[in-house]
Amino acid sequence: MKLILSIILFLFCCTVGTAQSKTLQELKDSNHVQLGFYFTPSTLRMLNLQKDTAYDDMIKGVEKLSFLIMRPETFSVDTYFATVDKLMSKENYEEYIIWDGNGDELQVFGKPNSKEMIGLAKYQDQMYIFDLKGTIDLMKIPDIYEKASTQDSTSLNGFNIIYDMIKDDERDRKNRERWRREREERDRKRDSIDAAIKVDSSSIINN
Amino acid sequence: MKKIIIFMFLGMFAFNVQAQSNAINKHFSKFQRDTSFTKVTVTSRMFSLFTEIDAEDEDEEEILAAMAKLKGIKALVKNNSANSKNLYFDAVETIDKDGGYEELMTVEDAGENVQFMIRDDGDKISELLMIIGGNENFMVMTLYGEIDLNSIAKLSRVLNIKGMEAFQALDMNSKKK
Repeated sequence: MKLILSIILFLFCCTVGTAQSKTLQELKDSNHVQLGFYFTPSTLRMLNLQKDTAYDDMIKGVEKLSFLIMRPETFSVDTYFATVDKLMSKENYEEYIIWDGNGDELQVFGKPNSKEMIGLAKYQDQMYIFDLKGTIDLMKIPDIYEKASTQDSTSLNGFNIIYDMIKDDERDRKNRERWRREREERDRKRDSIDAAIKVDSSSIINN
Repeated sequence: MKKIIIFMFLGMFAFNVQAQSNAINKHFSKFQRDTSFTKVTVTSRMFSLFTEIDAEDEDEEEILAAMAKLKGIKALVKNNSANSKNLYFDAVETIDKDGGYEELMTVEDAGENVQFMIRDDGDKISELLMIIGGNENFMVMTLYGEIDLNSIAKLSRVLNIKGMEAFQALDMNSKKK
C-alpha cells in the first residue's frame, strides 16, 4: 500500500510534461502492460478521502499521471534496461534519480525544460512505469510523508483502494497462470492417454 | 516498504558525480556490485527543479535557495550489517588517504560514530561528506555543489528524513564558530 503512495509521491518530487515519450507510448500500446492506472487532476483529488489540504496543494499542477504495472511474462529485466537505454540514447532523457538496493531499482528521468517525468521501478519481481505530466509542489512532500508515516492507515484510504486493486489483479494473474498450467497438464495427460489408446488399438488391429 | 519511501525521499536531496573526488568515487564503486548495499544518486537536474518553486515564507526561501545550489547527492547505505563499524573505519581511512578533505566534526560513542568532512573550493564549501557507522547501520552520504552548512542543518530539520537528522549537528557547530 505504502509502495503505491510512495511511488506517486516520489513522482511528485519531479515536474511536468507536455510531449509524450515515444518509447513510453509504444509500451502503453503493447501487451507489456498488465494493469494501467491513468489519473487526471480530478481522479487524483478523489484519492484524498481525508481531504488533506497539503495533498491537494501538492497535486494542483499535475496534468496527468500514468502508473503502469508491467506483465512479468513479457517485460523482463532486459526489457527494463532496454527501455532505460532507449529513453536516454534515442530520446535524450537524463537521469534525475537512481536508487538501487537489494536487487530493486528505481530510476527517474526527465528532460530540461520539459514537463514530463518518467520513472521505472523494479520491486521484487514486478516492474512498474510511471509517467507524470504537470508540476508538483515539492515543498508539500515532507508534510504528506510525515502524515503517511505517523498516522494510521485510514489516512491513506484512497490509496488503499488502488493498492487493493493491484493486489486483486496480481491474485487474478496468479490464478490465471495456475489454471493455465493445470490445463496444460491435463492436455498433456489426455494426449498421452490418447497416444496410448492409439498404440493399443493399432496393436489389437494388427493382431 | 518504509525503507523505499525513505530512500525515495532521500533522492530529493542531490548531487553531481564529476565533481567528486577520486577517493569517494573509488569507495562507491567498490560496493557498486554488492547488492547488500543501497546506492542512491540524485543529479543536479533534480535540484534544478527547486529553482522553479515559489517560497511561501522566509524559511522555505532559505531551504529552496540551499537546495538549488546543490549539484548532487550520493549515498551508500547498508542496514542490518554486523560489520558496520569496520565499514565506517574503512571509509574514514579511504577518505583520509585522499587528503583533499578537512575534518569538520566527529561524534563517537559506544553506539554510533559520525564524521563530517568538507572539501572547499576557495572560500566556499564544495562538498560535505558524512560517514555514519554503528548500530548495525552504515552510511556514506555526500552532498556537493555550493554548501551552506546552516541551510543544510535547517533542511534536514524541516524535512525530518531518516539518515539526514545527523546533519542537524552542523547547526550547533556553526553556532560555536
